Amino acid sequence: MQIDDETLMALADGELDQAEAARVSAAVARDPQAQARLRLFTETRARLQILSSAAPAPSDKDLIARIRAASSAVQVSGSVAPTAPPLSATPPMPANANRAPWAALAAAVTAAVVGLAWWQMGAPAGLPQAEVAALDSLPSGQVTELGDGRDLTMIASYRTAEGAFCREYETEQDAGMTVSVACRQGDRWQRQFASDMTASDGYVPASGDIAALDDWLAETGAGDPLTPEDEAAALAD
Amino acid sequence: MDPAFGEALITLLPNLRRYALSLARRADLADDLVQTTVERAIRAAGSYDPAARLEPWLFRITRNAFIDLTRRQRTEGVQVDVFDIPEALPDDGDRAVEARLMLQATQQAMKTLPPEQAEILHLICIEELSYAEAAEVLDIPKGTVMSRLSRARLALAERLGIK
Repeated sequence: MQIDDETLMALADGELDQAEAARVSAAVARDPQAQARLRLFTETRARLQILSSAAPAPSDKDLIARIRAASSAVQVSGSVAPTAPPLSATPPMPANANRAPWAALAAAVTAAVVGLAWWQMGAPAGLPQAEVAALDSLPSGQVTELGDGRDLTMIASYRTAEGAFCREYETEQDAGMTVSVACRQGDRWQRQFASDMTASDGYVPASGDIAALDDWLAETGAGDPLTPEDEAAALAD
Repeated sequence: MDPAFGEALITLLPNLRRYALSLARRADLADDLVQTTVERAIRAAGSYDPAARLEPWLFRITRNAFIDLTRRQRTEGVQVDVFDIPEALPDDGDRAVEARLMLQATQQAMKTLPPEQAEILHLICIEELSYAEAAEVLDIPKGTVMSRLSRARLALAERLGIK
């Protein structure tokens, strides 16, 4: 009987049920070639298993404290959110890759995200002049002041399946943050999508929690973000 | 949040960091990923089914966070050099030299595998997920897990000179 690699591997990994394992083991016992193949699978696993004990050990003290705080906070209060310690008034750093997950952590337990509002399509066409200016020229990853107390962070540019040039950006003011996508239509920008994220105590969700944005990107067939070069070319159009 | 959930999460922090490191291949990014995972896990604790194992549920969060991170990073033009990996091993000197060499050879071989092969090896052989659990984390059919894993095992064996 010829035993295929995947079956041998499943045997080595303990993925076969008892009857199957017994049957395959018996066949392997009669087949030196299969024994050698089986050894490839058991040996690779054994080598890798050693790596599991070689984990780096940075201090998780802070993380552990956060998790324990989260456990006890809700236990005490039941359904009503207890008062969270006030967060720093400074808004999270608008770093593109990492939106200060720490700031969110403490509040995450208690802060229900309030006022999650959607407009989709048919949004009012007139965007503030400062936003239009940013859409026209600001490269992704950069921040600009809108002049009305808000900051605008350009996140990414996309091409939809229909070829429209669209840009994702965030505007922040105090505790509030709005994620928007605007697409260029002729020489105008039309806001296609916006989501307000405002929290009770200054909690701004980390980027990437915005599942609906990903849905929108998928719906419109927008692929990966444009590279800086492609984006610059599109802006120059 | 259930305190038992919190304690289970704490127990798995080393596993999370290890998995994050295997994805991001950079210690600083791995730390960010672990923090994001913890944050999201706390927030989503209510949607975790206590009957299921916690590892696949957490790994999936980590993986989604990583995909999100790379999507954002591409817009910054930041390139992650996959070979620029800080040595994850403590230099304790306790380990037998031979074992250390073997371990380093395995780590080195993992770095030269295609990322999707290294990832599936990590989930199943290091984190000891079942095929079904890995399929759930990676969002692929179990059959694909098996074919990818078997190719990855043979590729690793070849690099390590296992015959």
